[in-house]
Amino acid sequence: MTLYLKLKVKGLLTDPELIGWSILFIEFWVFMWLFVFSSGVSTEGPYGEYVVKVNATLAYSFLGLLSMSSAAIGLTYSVYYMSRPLRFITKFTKMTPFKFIIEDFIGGLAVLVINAFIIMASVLGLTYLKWGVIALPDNFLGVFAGLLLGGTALYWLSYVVALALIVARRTRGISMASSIPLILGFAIYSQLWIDLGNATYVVPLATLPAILLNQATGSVPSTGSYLAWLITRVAPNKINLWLALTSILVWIAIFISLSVVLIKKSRGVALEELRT
Amino acid sequence: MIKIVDLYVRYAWKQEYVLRGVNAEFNYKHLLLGPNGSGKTTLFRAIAGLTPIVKGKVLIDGKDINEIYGTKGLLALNLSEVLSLLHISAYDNLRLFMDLTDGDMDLAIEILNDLGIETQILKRKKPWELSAGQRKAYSTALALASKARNVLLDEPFEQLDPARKSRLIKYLIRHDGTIVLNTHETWILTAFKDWSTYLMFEGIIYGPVTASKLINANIVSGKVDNALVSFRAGGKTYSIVEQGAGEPISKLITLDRIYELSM
Repeated sequence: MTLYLKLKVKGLLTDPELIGWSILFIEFWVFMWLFVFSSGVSTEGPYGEYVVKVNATLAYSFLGLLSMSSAAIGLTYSVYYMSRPLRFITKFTKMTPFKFIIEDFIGGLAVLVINAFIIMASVLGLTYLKWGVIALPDNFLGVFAGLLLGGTALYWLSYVVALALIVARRTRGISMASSIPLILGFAIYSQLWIDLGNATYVVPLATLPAILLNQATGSVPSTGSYLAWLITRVAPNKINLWLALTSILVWIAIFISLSVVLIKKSRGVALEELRT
Repeated sequence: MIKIVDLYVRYAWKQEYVLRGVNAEFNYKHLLLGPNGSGKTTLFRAIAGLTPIVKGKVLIDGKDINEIYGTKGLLALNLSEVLSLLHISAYDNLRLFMDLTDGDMDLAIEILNDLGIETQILKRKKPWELSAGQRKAYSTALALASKARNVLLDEPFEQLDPARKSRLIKYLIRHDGTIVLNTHETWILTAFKDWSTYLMFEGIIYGPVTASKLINANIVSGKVDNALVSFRAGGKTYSIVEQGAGEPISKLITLDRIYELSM
């Protein structure tokens, strides 16, 4: 592991604001989900344990995604602030632009996934504490891969947001624009109650909870209204998992392509124009 | 060696040029003397590839600035805005830079301690949490310790007390390689008497003249034959002459006062 990668992860994981908003704040909602909103969930009945497991999976999928979206705000800021030193560093140190992109991506992604795992671990721990059910995912690697995809998309979305502000010379908007990943996170969160139907496939990352749910429990959920699906176990509009995966991959490709275009364009912006 | 050929720079498309046809060659130890707002820092930013060049060329050790990537040991700069990469302590940031440049961590710590910044302070604070004077000393130490062949120092003595100034001078004289030091203060001429000095006014560079010649020189109004250098500032032409009437440069203290001269 290079020193840059180590310090990138250390810098983000020890940032008090990031800890506060992407972990502690989300932990509060983990507690609310399991101890307040899940009062009707019990292990009784033939599907009791299964319902508890699906409930836990929904909790760590949606809250984990919110945690990652929240951490992506920090990433957006870091991309913006790095845009100044980066021009110098990629020219006059061992860090080439390619090396930077790889190392920064791995570091950023690691932080996002660590955040999601912290939320996942607390959901699993508290679920065991309350219901005595070990709600481990059926396919842990599948869930891990899903989180990696989510983290990748959010990482590059952060890049697009920060670079778009730089290229448009609208850097004063950073505090508002940096919330875009979190707004997206909440839009996806609304699928607990709302079914977007086929529009799910065109909203960035909206299909990720379905993939996580499928890998964790083996079931194929609906395109939305997950809470109704949890209660009734009826999926009127079953999601197409291949299309769901394709949607995420296409969005990642879009975000990366936009980032590359914006990186090139941002080189034409003088440092003096990047004042907040 | 840094070679600048007919350099034009402006910040935004419709704005006036900040640098207007700058030509210079920095090959050992140089001072760049000019009032605030004359374009000294912009010139450094352009040399480092931080500000887009509209016209002209910057060559560092013969390589075009636009084609330089991932090359350690070529150039160092003490602008704090380019030296703080991550949300980490000043000490970790120093470690990172020394790692990326194959620089001398011991030298960096030695300079910093000598300038009154203890290692404990570096471990406790982020680079931007240091005071303005500490931040300048920190970025200067970082630039000097990175072992680059060409070092650009933007106002390195700013907000340093006299004792620390003299300690920093020792490191600058000792440094083996090209240094370009910009400032608006004229006392610097006495500290670096044998350094070649360029003057900069309103985006245009003049010179070079050896610092020792400028120490006792006077500024007179108008263009004078046999002047060390003539320049334009505030719509007027001035000449720097070794003998005769005029305002001694050393009396100006800062070149910002050039605009107050009523000659």
